[in-house]
Amino acid sequence: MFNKFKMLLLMEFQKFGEYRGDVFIFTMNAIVLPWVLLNVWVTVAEAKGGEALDTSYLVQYYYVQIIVNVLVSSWHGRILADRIRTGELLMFLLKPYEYIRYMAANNVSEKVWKILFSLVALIPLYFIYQSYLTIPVWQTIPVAFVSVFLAGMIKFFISQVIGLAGFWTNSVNALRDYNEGLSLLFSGRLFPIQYATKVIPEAFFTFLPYYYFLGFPVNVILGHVTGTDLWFGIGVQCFWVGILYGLHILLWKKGLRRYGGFGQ
Amino acid sequence: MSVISVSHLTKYYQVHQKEAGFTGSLKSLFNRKYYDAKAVDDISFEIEEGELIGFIGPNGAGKTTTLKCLTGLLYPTSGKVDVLGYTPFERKHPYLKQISLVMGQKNQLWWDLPAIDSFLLNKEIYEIPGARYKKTVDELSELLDVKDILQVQVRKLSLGQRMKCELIAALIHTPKLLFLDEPTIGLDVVMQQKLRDFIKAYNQRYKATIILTSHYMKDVEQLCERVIIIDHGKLLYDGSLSNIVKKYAKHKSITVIFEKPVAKEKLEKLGKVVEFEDRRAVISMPREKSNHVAAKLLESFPVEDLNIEEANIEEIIRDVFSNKASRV
Repeated sequence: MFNKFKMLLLMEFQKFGEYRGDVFIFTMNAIVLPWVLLNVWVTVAEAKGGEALDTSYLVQYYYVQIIVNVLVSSWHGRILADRIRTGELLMFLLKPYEYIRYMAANNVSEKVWKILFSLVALIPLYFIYQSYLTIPVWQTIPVAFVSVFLAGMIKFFISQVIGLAGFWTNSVNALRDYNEGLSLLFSGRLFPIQYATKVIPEAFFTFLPYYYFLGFPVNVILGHVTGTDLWFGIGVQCFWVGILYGLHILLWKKGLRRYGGFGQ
Repeated sequence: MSVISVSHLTKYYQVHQKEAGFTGSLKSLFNRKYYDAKAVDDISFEIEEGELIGFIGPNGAGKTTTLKCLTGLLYPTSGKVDVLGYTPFERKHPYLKQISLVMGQKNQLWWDLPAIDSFLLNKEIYEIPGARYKKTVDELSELLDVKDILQVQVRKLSLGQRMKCELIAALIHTPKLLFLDEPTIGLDVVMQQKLRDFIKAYNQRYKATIILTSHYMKDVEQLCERVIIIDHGKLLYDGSLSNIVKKYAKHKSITVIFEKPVAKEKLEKLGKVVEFEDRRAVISMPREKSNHVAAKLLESFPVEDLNIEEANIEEIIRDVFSNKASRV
């Protein structure tokens, strides 16, 4: 079982090696927004004299967000939707191996490349903002690891579910854009939750999955979520993984029943 | 022993119909009309172990849909399909390990990596022991003469080379049942012949059951003793290739060369003169009259040479599809 996945991982890793230029551009693209926001928020915080906004927290938040964003990223929904539309999926369906494992291998390999490339930006940024950055206390590391892993699963299955919409529509890109828009607002990407909830009702963060794949793990790493809130958050992450996994199974089965393998 | 048993297989697709133009588009927003397109319409057949069958029909006849139902890619609307003792659309792993599908227009090889990497992945996926994997790859790459290109990126291979590697990838687990959907499409005549030779050799060496669909009649003529003809989703014919001629070819033609020029009008009394030159003519007549016409030609004309020919198989099948020949 593990040999199959290991082989797939190696193949995907080699494949991304062929497209290393593209992966580099995508990685930098994912880093630009949090870096810009970091600068905007720091400027605003300093203009306000550091009273209303905590400059040190903001720098740490966006720096860690860059790392978490790379670790939880998923782009395979687009690949899945394309394969459904062109009929390329057929060749995978004929193999005695679950399709989702191909996507998991794709996802993990992509992350390894992205982590390597993101160091190009993370190392200089560390030296620029060194005075604001602190090393997280070691006690938070195990739970942060769990939280980031669950965040990656949530994002993976959201991407998978959006890709599976390709069984019913050709406009999966529109769904992706819609999801990206909501994600910008509610994941904590544009602003940390403690500042956002002054404008947006907290329920949007509590009851939607977006916050739990970015803002929440970032705050866990920074040690800003503790005690009951921490375990409640981890519980919600598990809930969303379960819901999205179930939805993925349902859509996969229903989609395959109606799939004709177009593009023939 | 039957490896494939198909009973009253039917597959309908629901197709959306829209009137022409912008108004039609607006109407279809509120009142969408659908109809059931009968891709496969109540067909039944059995295929025995080791057979090499040609599955032929014009575009949209239902060949690929049938193949997809047999491989488990499509759920039938109704009917029963049993392949190697499995219900294909359940796509159980033990079933998938025994079959393979090669589509001339679809790749399973990883585009950016050499073919040998895709083979290695298949080795793991199909759980092939190392020694058997090596033996199979050696044998197949020798048969197809591709040993030198296995380390070359797939995207840098020619269409013919890629098709050969696709075949190896599909056969690496030595499937009992091989579905070939237009395997020679787009290939030049030399490469087509090489692939035909290989398919024949594979069938004989591994006793594999092979189902072939192709628009090239040469593929079918050279490889298949039995053919299934399908059109508009209906099974028109299931039997030997030679019987098609007896069943559907209602005419024979006689090519005759004369010692000296003869009058065309005289020949027209014997049958339809299809071609006429100075000393050569081709005359078409009902099959049962061919002996009589030949005797008459020898008796009444200065014949130098005479040849009675069956209609070309491709023409017969073309006639079957265009409803010229009588159907049963």
